[in-house]
Amino acid sequence: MKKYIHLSLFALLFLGACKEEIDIEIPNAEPLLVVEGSVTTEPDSSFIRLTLTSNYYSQDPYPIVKNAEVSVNGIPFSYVDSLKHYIAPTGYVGVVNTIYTLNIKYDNKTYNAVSKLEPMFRIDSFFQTWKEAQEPFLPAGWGVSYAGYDERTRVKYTWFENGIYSNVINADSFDNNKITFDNNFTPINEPYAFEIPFARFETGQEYISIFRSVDKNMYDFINAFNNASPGIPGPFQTPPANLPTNITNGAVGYFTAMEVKRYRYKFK
Amino acid sequence: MLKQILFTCLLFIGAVVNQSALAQKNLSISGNIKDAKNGEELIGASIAVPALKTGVTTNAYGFYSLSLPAGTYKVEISYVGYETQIKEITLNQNLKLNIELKESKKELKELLVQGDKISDANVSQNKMSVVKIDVKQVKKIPILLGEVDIIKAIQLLPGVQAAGDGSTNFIVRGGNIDHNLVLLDEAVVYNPSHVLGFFSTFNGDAIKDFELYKGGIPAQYGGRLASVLDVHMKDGNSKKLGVTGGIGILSSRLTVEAPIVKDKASFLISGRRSYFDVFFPLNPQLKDVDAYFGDLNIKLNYTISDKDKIFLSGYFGRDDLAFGGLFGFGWGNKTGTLRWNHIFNSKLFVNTSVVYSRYNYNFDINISDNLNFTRTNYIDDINLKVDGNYFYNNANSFKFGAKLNNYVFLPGKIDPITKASIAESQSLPKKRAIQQDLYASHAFKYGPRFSAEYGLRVSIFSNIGAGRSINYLNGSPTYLDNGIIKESPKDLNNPYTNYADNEIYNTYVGIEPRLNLTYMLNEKSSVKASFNRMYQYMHLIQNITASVGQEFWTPSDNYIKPQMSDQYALGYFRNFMDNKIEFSAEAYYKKLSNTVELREGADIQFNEAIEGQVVAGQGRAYGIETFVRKQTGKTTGWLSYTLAKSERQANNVNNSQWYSFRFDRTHYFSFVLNQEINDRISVSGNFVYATGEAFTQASQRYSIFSGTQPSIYYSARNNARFPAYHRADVSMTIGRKKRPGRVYKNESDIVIAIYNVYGRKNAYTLSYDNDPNTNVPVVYKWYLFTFVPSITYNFKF
Repeated sequence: MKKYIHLSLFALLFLGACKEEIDIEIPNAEPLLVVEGSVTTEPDSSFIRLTLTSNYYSQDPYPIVKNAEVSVNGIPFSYVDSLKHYIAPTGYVGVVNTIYTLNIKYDNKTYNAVSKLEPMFRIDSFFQTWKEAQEPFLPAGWGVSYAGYDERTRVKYTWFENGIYSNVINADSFDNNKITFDNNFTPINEPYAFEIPFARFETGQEYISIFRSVDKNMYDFINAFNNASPGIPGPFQTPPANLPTNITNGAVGYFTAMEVKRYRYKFK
Repeated sequence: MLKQILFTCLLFIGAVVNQSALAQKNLSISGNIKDAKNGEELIGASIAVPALKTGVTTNAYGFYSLSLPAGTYKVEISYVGYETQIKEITLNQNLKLNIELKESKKELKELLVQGDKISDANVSQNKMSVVKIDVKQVKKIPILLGEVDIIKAIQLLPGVQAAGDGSTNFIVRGGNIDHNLVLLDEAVVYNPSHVLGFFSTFNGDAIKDFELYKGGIPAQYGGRLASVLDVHMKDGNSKKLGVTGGIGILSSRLTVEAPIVKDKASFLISGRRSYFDVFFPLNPQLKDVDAYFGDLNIKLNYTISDKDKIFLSGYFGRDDLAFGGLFGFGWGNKTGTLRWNHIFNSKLFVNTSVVYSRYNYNFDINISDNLNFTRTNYIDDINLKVDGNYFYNNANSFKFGAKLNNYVFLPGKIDPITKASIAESQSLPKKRAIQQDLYASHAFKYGPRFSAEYGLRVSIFSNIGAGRSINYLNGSPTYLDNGIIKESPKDLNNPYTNYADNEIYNTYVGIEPRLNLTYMLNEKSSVKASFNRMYQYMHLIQNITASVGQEFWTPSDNYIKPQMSDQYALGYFRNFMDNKIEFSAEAYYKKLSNTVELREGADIQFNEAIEGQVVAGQGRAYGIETFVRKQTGKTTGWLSYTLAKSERQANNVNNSQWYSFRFDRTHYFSFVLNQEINDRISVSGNFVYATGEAFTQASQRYSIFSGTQPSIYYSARNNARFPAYHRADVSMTIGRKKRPGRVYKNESDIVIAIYNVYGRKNAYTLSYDNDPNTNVPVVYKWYLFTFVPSITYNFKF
């Protein structure tokens, strides 16, 4: 939604606006460790990916860190070259309400991060309703809603992605946005229905959605990532800022534990 | 300690006043100075007795009081743009003398006051860091899309700059946007902008006069750190019906003013409306954008007697932007002022006002049947104030006053638009505050060369119930985690402290001394110095680059301390060529404390814990401003150059190191020229050059979520500069053809203007992205306005 706001305001504001490339000298700096890692409730899906930062203008692939010592709650994660990240022993599954601590030793420095695996709320079913066009943003088509029930205390956070099955990552209709929401504004301990915004489908298409419970750190990280995404600057553009991180000792990136729930729905 | 200071001050006042009083027993001439054509009171008009080298100026209500020994004098009354009158008076008792000045037929051409240069005001008046531009001159300055705009005009003055290309937000001597107190007939205008900040709320046809204080701020003003823009609406023509208007490419305006009872009561009504909603549907790309702005100024005044006059004025402005019926936002200012001027006697003038301001903002989402809501916030500000002027004699005058403010803040309220919406009606708790201000100042002249004004303002700001404050686990709303400032968790066992209705639960007291000194080196030059301490209890929380959007005002409370500034200024003033050219050079140093800065990653959307999103910082700003102005003759204009530095610092921001303020510009040069070609045609031009604004430069890039677009790592805040900003604008005003000897009741002109005539691509912002063709990382500069022509038709009858 935010992206549409940006685009529309941009259309209004920047009627004659243009962009052009400029040269800015950016000196080299000492590379930083970049951590991406998650412990999930899906078997064998937990991973840690380590890379290094590059000079802004560098066209080389990001350097991958292969020789670090990585463990989560004392369980070692091993580097797998084909995946280009570190994975847990086979059968590893995250457990709800457990606190996970990441430990990385690399280049004579130690990095840590902590995340609690929060539970997801319950989703009972999906259903479809016909929607007329909302020009210029949405054509006519099937809208999709879920029936949910949330018995968790407030405030809990959700990272949500959805798209058309078989093309989740490149699902243009959703622009690959990472959506976050919390349960401050949805009912607690009572059933409710929620229509997925900005979504229209055709009969026969299969819809997939992924719900991940995350902690506040990850919620803040995704929001900051979305806000900082380069592209069209607009009046709602926030001042440049580093993405927040829960990794200690000067690294960037994130480590999160989360319960993951995936759903599919075929439009009739 | 306070008692000792007061006692010393009283002794000093007594000594100075007695010294002057004993010199001679005086009588007084007092009254109002008005425009003969429409009865408008003239602010800052001069009344002088050249033979005695003495004189005074009218106050903000057009009133003056001049003390003279009994005798016969030639009194000279003058005002820029008006014909000077010389009256011979015999004074053997106190005299009431109302004067009407005729507008100069030659308009600003030959307005020099001959004789003893009493009107050499910029040199002799005990005021510094104050700028004033005649509204008629503002109308000749080429402005973006032809909208006459006093804020765009002041951005061409030294020490003042725009907060972005084309923006009406302005920065004064390194202050923040919200450090400017913008007053319209005494009412605070909390957001003086239309159309995402590109046009101001001030309709040039409804404005009589304005003055900008950048420093040396007198004791009667308070509440903001950097400046006061004091705008006065026209009172309304008390002589005859007058209609003015204009048709531009962005909006049209119409003003009607007329006497209700000739010379006793009059009204003014002035409206403006944009055309966006008419033209956007014609453009396929914009047909679903619904945009509108409009405003209305009204004023009524009634002269009850020679001693009493009342005014009622109001402003109503509204902006709305909506997109495809899915989402939109809007904002509006409303102000109302009821004013009573009472002249107790020839020496004592008192104004009493009741003033109301409201600023509200709404953001609407209507995406689906069950995802829709409207979110609103507002600030209500109502105050009662009394301001007095006591003109003891020509060498001593006093100002004093009191003000009582009541503020109500609604930080956020959500209401579903449809019944099916999952959004629940909910509201963040309102915040209430009261503020009491008392001030007094004494202006005096000591001998022929030295004049001074010293004053004290005491502001007492209190948070009052009903309300609540959040209790945090560690007692502080923020904490440091891994080098990052984060919002502290609430104390879940005792999350809130609740306050009963009208319970005062937090109070700040601000002692604000003010001082202005002038020493005349000779008749043509002077040196001046000033000091002012200011407190600010209201803070604009804003996380965007434009002037609207995610923004609201919040008060100081038990977590957010008041901001404070101390400013010192020293200046040299000199006039040349028999007063035709004014010159000034000022140096200033300003220190800011408890500035309110958003922390990185702040979440200000519908968040009660706003104190957890901000950090207190400090700032310093210093610079030298030079200004040369020619106000008379066929060629008028000014040159201004500012050399300045403005920095900020906050703990755990930028590694606690000082960094450049975003709008820190080392060099800022402006040139404004108006040339009258003949009685019909005049041409104007501006040129602005400024060091590029500071920005936070990328240091490194990295990949997150396996994305192709880079995430950026910044090593320091505001550590680089945009390319230099420069721009030239031109305009031509073509008046109606006039035959010699014929009197015309109607006037009209056409203004053709070009903004950014040579199409400079000034950076509005930067973005980091990959080139879509080569996928190579590049930096893009975004720019807004290049070569924007406009045409406006103005009429008056």
